[in-house]
Amino acid sequence: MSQRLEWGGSLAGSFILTADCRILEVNGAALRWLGYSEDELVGKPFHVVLGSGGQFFLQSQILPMLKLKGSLEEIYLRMRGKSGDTGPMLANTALRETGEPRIEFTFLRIPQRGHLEDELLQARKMAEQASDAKTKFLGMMSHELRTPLQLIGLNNQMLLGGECGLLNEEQKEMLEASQSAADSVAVLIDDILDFVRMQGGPANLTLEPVRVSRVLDRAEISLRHRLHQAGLICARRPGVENLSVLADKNRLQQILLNLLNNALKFTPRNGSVTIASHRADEFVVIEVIDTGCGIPPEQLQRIFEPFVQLTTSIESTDKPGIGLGLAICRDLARAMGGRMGVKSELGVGSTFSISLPCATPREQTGSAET
Amino acid sequence: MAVSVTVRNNVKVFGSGQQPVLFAHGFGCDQNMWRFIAPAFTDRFKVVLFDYVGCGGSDITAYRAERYQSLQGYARDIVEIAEAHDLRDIVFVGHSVSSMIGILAAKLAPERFAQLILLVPSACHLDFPPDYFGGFTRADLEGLLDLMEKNYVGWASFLAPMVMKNDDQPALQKELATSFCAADPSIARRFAAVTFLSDHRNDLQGVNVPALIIQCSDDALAPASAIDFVHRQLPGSAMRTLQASGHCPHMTHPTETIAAINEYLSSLRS
Repeated sequence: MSQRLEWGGSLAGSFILTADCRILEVNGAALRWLGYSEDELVGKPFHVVLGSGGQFFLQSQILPMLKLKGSLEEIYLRMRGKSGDTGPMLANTALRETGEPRIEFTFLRIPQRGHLEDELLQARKMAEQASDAKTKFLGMMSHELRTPLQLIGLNNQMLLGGECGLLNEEQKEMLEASQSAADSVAVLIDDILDFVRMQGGPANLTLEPVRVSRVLDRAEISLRHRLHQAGLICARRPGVENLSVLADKNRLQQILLNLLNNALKFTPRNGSVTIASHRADEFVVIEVIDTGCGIPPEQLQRIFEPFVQLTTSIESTDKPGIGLGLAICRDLARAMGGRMGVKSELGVGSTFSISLPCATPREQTGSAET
Repeated sequence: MAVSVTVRNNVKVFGSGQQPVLFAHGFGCDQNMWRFIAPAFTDRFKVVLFDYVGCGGSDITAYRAERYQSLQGYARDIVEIAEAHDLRDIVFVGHSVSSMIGILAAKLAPERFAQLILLVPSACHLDFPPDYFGGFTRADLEGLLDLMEKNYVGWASFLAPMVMKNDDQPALQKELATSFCAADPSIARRFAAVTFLSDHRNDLQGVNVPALIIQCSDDALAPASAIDFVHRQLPGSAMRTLQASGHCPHMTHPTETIAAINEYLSSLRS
């Protein structure tokens, strides 16, 4: 045993290995923890002291990364002593290539941390399983709900069409209210189905160059009436609308409608909703800027997560929704090679943005951006 | 199509030759692992490197659990890379699990492949005594998955989403995730499970592309019994044993590995 390794003996276990992982030197702490004598280990392949799977991990992970990076830190390992598993260890290792190549390997025992990590991982696994179960359940429920809803709609239409006799005004109003409620539920179910579909795999997208002005026109037209009804000013800021993005035009439309609908929901009368666009490197960024109630910082971080709804705002208590809209937007944006973003200030307003790859070549955009 | 596959798999094409050499990295690493031998091919070949989805610089948002639940999904990616870059007459060099992925790809699109160079291949890592010895018991492999989980899905992946300020910042998450080169820890774990728990012994039949199998003198991951099995089952395959030991001869003994590949390729030409 070398002087150098013995010196570190009381605090950390140490090995020096050849490049093909044979043990050259081992220090006192390592021998004590593993229960071997020096003679029993020197000359042996290193994997004799590695626990189950350790040999595989050494060959497939540690050695290639050592070769590429020269050193590795904080490796979690289980080692195997003479009388079995020694519990969790944390190791640092480095490759010395001056002269004959050597691998230095130092490790500490971490019983407490190992235990905590086990608990965390277990909790994570359970959360993942619960999330899978939830997705399955939502998919099933949505289908089950859709069928009777279609029947309700069909019957409403027949009654309203006078197929079962003429209706008086009161009956008509009641039926229209019932149909409007059924329509709202249908939108929610579509949201759930969309969300479940995105969890299960790629959205079925047709990516093509889409002119920004065209999608913005369509989105604005379909919501203009409701924006006016809500007493909001709807503005378009000149930007890069003559550029095209690479996107699925229907899905992009869906995202914009969702953002505009949110702006509509959370902006009080006499406020404004502004649509803007600009170019950022290879992306076109479309923004929906409102002067609404804003989003508290702690909720802003999670706003794109599924089932997150604004809860602290008193204004939100009467807002329908289940918190899937933005999660769907995010997944759709990602599937189109883009991303969503948000900035917000409480009481001032929020800006939601979608960035999508620009489909207009650079040389054609010079005039477009001025 | 070409753009998205290139981005998805971080495809890099260079070199001055016509015939493509497609290098497919093994489990636990990315295209970087070829940097010791790829330069030796650039003057005569078109060198193509890529990362599997979830590794290195690939687009991790392209990961689909359904597609990548077996090696077939990874093989389809290789065929798509070949299609997107119009690669024909390919010399495919696959390390470890990529040997099997290459074999599956060559069965999907045999017309595109000229030769398969299989570095330390194993069709199945598990033992099935008394007929087959892949080198590992199920307990060994589960031990490996546990280590992967602890090293990849450990504290870093718990903290990363909390540290991240907003929706999309994969670059930040990547910096936090461990010393190992997994672009995404949970994908790495699933890739490990697919790699080490699957049995492809029946896929060696019906491969119509000539193959060279390269083995090391002492390889714990792909023991001689597993490599011999691939050699016996793969019609007309050639076998070459290196002096090198270990499981990554292209990293630890690049000169010898390059020579073995060159000798095989020139023997086919003469």
